[in-house]
Amino acid sequence: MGISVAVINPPFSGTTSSFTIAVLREGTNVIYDVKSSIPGVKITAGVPTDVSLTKADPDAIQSRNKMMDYILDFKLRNPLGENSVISFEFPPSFLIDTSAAKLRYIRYGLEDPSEDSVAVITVDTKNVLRITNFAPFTDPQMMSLHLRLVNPDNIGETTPANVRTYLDSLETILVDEDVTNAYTVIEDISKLLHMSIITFSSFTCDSQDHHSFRDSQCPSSDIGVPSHPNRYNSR
Amino acid sequence: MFNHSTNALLLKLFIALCLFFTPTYSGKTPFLTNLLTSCFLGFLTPYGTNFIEASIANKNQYADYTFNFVPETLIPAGGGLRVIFPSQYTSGLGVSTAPTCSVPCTVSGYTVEFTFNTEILAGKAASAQIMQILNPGSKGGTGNFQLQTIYGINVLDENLIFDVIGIADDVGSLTSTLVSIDSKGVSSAGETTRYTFSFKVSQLIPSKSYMKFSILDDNIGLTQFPSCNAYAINGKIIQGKFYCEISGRDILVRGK
Repeated sequence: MGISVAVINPPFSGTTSSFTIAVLREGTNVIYDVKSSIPGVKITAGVPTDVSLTKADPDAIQSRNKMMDYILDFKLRNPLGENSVISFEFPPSFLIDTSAAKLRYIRYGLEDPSEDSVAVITVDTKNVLRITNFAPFTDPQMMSLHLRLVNPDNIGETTPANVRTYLDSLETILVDEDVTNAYTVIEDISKLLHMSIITFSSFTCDSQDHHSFRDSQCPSSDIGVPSHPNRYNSR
Repeated sequence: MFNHSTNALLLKLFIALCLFFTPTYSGKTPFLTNLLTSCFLGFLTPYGTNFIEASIANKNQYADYTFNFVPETLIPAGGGLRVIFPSQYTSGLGVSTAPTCSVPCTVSGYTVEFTFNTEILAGKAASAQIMQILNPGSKGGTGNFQLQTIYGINVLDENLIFDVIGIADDVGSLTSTLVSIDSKGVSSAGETTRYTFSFKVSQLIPSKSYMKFSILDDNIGLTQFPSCNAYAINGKIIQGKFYCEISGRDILVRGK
């Protein structure tokens, strides 16, 4: 037979300790049947919400290979303590800027542990950004980071960064994990230029006047470029 | 040698001493208090639903024993409780050389002595617990437990018929046991979900019984009255409704 009971999973992944089931006589501690050391259940990582990677400057174009600033937002599910680690593993194609001008900081959501100690952000050679030494919390709030990254060489959706939190500094106890939502979209610039050329309504051919352009009626030596290409916002 | 007037004087002196050295005094003069314990030996009252509670009441099992009592006499700091187990138990009570108790304790033969580091007021309920005593080897009732509160070599209160324990037969074994996350539940950390406890009994269980699921992992969150219901296994389901209650780290399941 089976009985299903409402419980709350532990706040980190792993296998729980064992269980004991006993059947007893009512009103007593007399056991009819018992079984102890029943294996624990497997708990998977918690699920963060509201994870997004968006450009810091709404007007900037996300072109390939451009170094630009991003906002990484996330809301964790489970508490973290003194030695915990929040890590973001970006794909090798999407490098975290580690030059002298590297810019990365916590916008909000994570506090320094004390007046004399600040939260620490590090980036390792495997393109993993880690936040450590932050004030422990039990009720996760929305968190936001400012990051300077170098866009990948490919257009389209970037490979998502793996957002993982660990209870311990050795990163053996996984708490929360998101491997699908920390991504952005790199825009196709060549499409942008092509689009803006087509918006010109009138044109003449002039071998000296390079302010106009027309495709088939101009001699091939007269190739003009638009002086004010309309910027096309891909949204 | 002692004439009547001397006897009367001695008697008056004795009574005066009895009245003066009440058992609540800290007993700095052993001879006198020893003499005087025969004046005022208090009564140790059992307390609570179960005066003596064994965590498992089956024969040949190791159980934790809790003694719930109310002293009539104040027990000073450094005093204690002496429990003499009835003869159905084995000498040494099956504990290791360093027994584990709720307060410091020693075991010798059939006797356990607990030491209280803070005083226990007269009339105040108190308890002491010793872990992993070996239950008697046969079922049935035990003899009486004898309890005394002590301070040094003195006995403050006593009760020689404190309680008896009923010892039941051997425990049987459950088979096909499994604890799993309910198929409609989630396995992610921190989420509210349902665990299913499945098992097969080895014997016919009488109708008045209850189930106990012990959750050893402290990190699993429990609410005081979690919702629980029967779960079909191989199409078989236990009839009726259940209600669950948490006691420590145990879920107690009873039919309605």
